[in-house]
Amino acid sequence: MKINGVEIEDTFAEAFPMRATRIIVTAVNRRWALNAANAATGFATSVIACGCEAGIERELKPGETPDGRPGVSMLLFTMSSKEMARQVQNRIGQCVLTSPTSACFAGLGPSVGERLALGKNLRFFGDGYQIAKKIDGARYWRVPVMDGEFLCQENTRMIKAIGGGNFLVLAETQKQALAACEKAIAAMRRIPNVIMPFPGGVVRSGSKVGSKYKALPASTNDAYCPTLKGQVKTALPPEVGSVMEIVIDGLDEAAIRAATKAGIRAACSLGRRRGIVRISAGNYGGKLGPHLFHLRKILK
Amino acid sequence: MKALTLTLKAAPAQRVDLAPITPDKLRGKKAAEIGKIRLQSGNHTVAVAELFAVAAGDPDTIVIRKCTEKFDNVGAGMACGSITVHGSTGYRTGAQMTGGTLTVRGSTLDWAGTGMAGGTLVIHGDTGRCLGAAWPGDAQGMRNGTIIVCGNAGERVGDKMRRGAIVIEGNAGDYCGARMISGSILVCGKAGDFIGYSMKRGSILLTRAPRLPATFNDCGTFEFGFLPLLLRSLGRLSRRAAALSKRAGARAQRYAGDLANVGKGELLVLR
Repeated sequence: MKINGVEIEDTFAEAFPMRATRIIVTAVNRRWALNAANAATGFATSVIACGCEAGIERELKPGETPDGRPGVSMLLFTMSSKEMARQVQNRIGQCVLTSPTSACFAGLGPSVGERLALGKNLRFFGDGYQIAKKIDGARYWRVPVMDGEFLCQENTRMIKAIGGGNFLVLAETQKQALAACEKAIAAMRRIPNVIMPFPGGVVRSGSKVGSKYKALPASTNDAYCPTLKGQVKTALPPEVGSVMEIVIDGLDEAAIRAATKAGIRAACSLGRRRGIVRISAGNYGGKLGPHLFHLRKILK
Repeated sequence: MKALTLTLKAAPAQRVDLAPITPDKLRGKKAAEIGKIRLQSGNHTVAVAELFAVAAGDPDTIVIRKCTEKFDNVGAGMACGSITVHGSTGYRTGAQMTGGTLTVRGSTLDWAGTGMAGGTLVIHGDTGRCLGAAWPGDAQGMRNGTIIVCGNAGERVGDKMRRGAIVIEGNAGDYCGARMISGSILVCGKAGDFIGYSMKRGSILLTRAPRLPATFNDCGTFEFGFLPLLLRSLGRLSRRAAALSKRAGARAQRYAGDLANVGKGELLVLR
């Protein structure tokens, strides 16, 4: 299968179950909503060392947010409910509560998943001066802070989701691989219910399971490292000089499929002539996770 | 399906307790059975059919026509469905409601919404004293739900109110929000004296500066993020609240009190 001369490898991405939540952050303007959301989703590229994977799903217009101010929708993914509770409390407490003019709301409806504390514990920052307000069945906390009040919904919801959807862009040069990935990310950011948690949505250090060093659970994916083509059993054809990966976390399989499709099509739009050689995907032979995303099926 | 309609034949001589006429209590009953329900009136009882012409319909939607102030406990204890009253009602309208919508297209006497724990009570006219207040002996007044009064309200609106929201589109009498434990009261018109007297917590929203009790302190004027949410929510039921929601925004002057009690309540004057 080829798109614009770019080969689509007959392989699949392997993804695994995660827990996810959506949180809406608003502020006096777009800039401060983004400041809060960028801080809250910072250092959240991989659960391996960050505790969670998080990112900005999209920006929200004033008409789309609960308080009618500019906002940002964030998605957070963790491996367990307990870790999610810890991550939400720490990230909202340290990054959103602290951000001037911010407010924080649940991004998932009350009928889905299970309850997850949002402002429920953060309210104690108010030292007894916090005020509860129940509006339309939802409880909000007004926490007095130095710039006025921090408004935070008491709970949000946590649902079962999927992490680790991915595809690889194999190109002749680093510049070409990055250009293709940038195109892909721009297209994928228009898809709802997904985030690409790595910097700019792109990861250049794909890993394999295990290492020669016993303490390390994962190490560099040498089969895809172009500088090792002459040293190891490589997965790369001779013309490939750079590989980059896009990792996708989504609220459901359909969202990951849609994002994968949009991303690959956008990456391939540059075509073989501009150095994009092949699209592949990372998997562990189907042993890691129950969710398999076959590239050719998705692109049909 | 059309509504179950009760049309008053003639005004009763004595007060009548209409508490048995609610959607949940009439569910599954036919018009003939409903007509035989006995209503307490003084020291005797009277059948529904003696007072009202009963037109069969869905008991989840009840319409009472030509109602007068002689009827107490209209919609009291209702848990679901809707009751629309054409005319006025007596004491304890919507008392102990836990759900549903009770609409009075007229005025009510005192104690409307006392002990209310859910649902929506809309009064198109005026209401008497102690709206959503604690019944004597009760520790708490209204515990949840929403009350909208399109006209004026008497004294002691929301006395010992615990949760929920009250909107008075007109004026409120003295002691509005007295001994309030929590919840929200919006007065679009003028509020009387002793507003928030001995309130512990809760918010009283005003559109004009009240005669401030000595035990309330000015905190200044600020943006309150919850105000747009609250006003928009109330605006779905109240036209005055909807207009305020569009006009007022989130800015309000805050007075904290009652400092003679817990002092965690507030009067918010919308700017």
